[in-house]
Amino acid sequence: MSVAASFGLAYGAFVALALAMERHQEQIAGRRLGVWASRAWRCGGIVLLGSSLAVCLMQALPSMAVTVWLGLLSLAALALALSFTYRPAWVRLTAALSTLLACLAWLLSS
Amino acid sequence: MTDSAGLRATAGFRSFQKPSRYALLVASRAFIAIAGGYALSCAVAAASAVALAATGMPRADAAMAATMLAFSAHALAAMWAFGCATVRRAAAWVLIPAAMLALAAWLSGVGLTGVAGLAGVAGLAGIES
Amino acid sequence: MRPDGRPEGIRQSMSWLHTWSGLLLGWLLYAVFFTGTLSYFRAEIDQWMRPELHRSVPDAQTLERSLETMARLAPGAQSWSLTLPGARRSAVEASWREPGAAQGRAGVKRAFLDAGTGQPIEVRETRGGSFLYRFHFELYAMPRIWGRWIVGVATMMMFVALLSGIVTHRKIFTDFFTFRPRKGQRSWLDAHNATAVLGLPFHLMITFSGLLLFMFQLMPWGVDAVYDGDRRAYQTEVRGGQVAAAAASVPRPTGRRSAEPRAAETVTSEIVPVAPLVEAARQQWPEYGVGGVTVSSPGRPEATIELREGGGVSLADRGRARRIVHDGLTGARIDGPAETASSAVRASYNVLTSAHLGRFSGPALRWLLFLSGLMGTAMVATGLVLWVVKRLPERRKLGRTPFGHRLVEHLNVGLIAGLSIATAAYFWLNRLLPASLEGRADWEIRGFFIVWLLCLIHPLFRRPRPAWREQFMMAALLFAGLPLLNPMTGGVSLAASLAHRQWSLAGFDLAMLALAALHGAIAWWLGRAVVAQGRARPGSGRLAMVHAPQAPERMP
Repeated sequence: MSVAASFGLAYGAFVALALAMERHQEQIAGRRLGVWASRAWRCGGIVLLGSSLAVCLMQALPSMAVTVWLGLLSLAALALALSFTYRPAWVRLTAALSTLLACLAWLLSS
Repeated sequence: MTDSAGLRATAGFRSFQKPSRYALLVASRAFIAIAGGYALSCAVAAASAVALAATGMPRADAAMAATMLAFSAHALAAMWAFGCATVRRAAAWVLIPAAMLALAAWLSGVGLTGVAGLAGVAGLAGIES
Repeated sequence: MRPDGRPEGIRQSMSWLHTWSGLLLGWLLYAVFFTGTLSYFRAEIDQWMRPELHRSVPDAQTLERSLETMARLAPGAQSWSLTLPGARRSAVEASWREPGAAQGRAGVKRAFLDAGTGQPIEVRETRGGSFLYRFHFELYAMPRIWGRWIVGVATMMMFVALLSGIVTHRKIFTDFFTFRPRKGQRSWLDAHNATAVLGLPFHLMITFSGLLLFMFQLMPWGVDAVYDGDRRAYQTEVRGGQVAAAAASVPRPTGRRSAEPRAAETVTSEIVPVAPLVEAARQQWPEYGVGGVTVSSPGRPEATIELREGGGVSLADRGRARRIVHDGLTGARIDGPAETASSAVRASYNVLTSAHLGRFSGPALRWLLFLSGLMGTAMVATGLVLWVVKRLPERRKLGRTPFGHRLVEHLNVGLIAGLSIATAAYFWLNRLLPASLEGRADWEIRGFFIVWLLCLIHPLFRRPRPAWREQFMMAALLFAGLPLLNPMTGGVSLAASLAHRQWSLAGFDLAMLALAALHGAIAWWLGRAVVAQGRARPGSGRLAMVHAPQAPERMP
């Protein structure tokens, strides 16, 4: 459960970080975002990454938690890269869903 | 980019009369990276193990940390051997520290004449280009 | 490096270094990654390749029955060690050491016990997943030291390739989520970049820890410098307080426990009932339960019972399973000396190497390591293919294919696609070779290499693209056939293993189907591109891989 939550948050985090990148803004938001919006998304992405790590840390000892978290990051980033290539229109929806579901999963399990 | 490099290397290989300058350059940098790098990493391992143990770190930790440093040093030496502007500079940057560290380790009581010898041989051969 | 030897920028020189350090031993690295990734599921492969064990179904009395059998099989043994069934295995693996047995692995006897009846099961002779695991770092058919040196050198080259790749990758953040298919060379570069960068923590960890695991062979000078060559002292000191605790439970073959024959001594004392001890341990270890039990000096007054957790909770502790030791007669707990915390340096080593080995990992971490390993395997493969694809424009300009290019192209097919076929063939041979055949374990392995060799010869007679397609089709067929072959040759079918929740067996069959799908998809994709040949202009897209019909293309 916490693994799924951590993954969902990581995926959401990466979408937020992608929104801070010019290349992907068109794909997700349909337009270019301003400097401040990009910065805001970058901060949000980092916060979500942190919470993804926190979820892992609450369930396991640090060495195990960080290792699992890094593995989940790779998976989430790969999932997003493939989404951008094959289903860019779904990215917004999947990001919102995954972040929400992750929060839900975490709340239910704690 | 250097896509044609592979092609030229093949062309250079074909003329068995005399190895092309390119092949010689590659060979000397490779020698510095592989043999020189290994000599450097052995010297780093020995010298840093002794140095770390002298600062009070437990022996086992010093040995382990030194080994980790040594592997990193080898990789960095290989990158340096090929990243340096000239072969001469690459040889100097890799082999002189190797010799110095080997000497330092040897002087502190560790028998590493083999490493020092290897570094010396590598130095003599590598500067030849 | 420029042909004229003039200086160039750091990105260019690192690009050259990355290409050559990757290419020279690239095929070996592919095989190392491939077999290493499979080795994360070594226990599952071992189990699938011994169909005699498939019908073993564990229940609550498994441990009691096994201990009774051990009392029958090895009454005077120095110790009994049982690995209990769980998610990864369905039979009990027993090992024991007779009195007066040889030191080390030679003195250990093994047997498989049925979890339902407790009886020993006669299994076919096979190296199982251990062949793939050992090949991963020792290769085969050569002295162990040579194999380890070769793999060690390849690992250092991999490390250099990784670091130079990072330096040379100009747009590492911009291209983070970028994969553009159907653009020929660009797509291959994107795929190589994506699999490399997205799995970078894993790749760096696996490579560096691979070097560390070989440190006594590759770089013993650090230890030798401070210990004056006394490596045993290093081993002792590095374990710290853990040495004493281990000695209390498992008799080490160092003469600590008397190895003289005790055959004459009758078993006088009964062992204390183990079930309540196991139950108490399960309460303490809710995540993994009890994975194994070791009884030392069974039946004698000094007997001890050690229970091992079924998984590791911390990598900083070498990923070790936690242990509880009980007195064999009274059942009282024996507390070992307090475990000393690892220093930062030691913890780093432990985390890196435990993550590499993945022993005692739970399912989540194991699957993540496996998937990361797949990414690494794809990284090496895409790199090797990219080398060929990048040089196609040159070949067209030259009007012919230089020997080196043709060689790499040829080796790519046989060594990359061929490895999949050889692995599937290994599993097929495990079932097709008669169970009673003399030396069948060696024949399974020989078959693996023979098939791999045939895959190397096949591209000699085909153009590259059809060769790739045919080999991937072959691999897909072979993998898909395995879940069908399984029940026909003594194993438990996928439906049955799912119904009985034998996840290890079901997982193997499902993984084979997934691999079949993957290889089939690649073969289909390779075939589809040929159809599109007529529409696109030459030199663009995936067609970069299809050769223009020029007479001198074939290998002489």
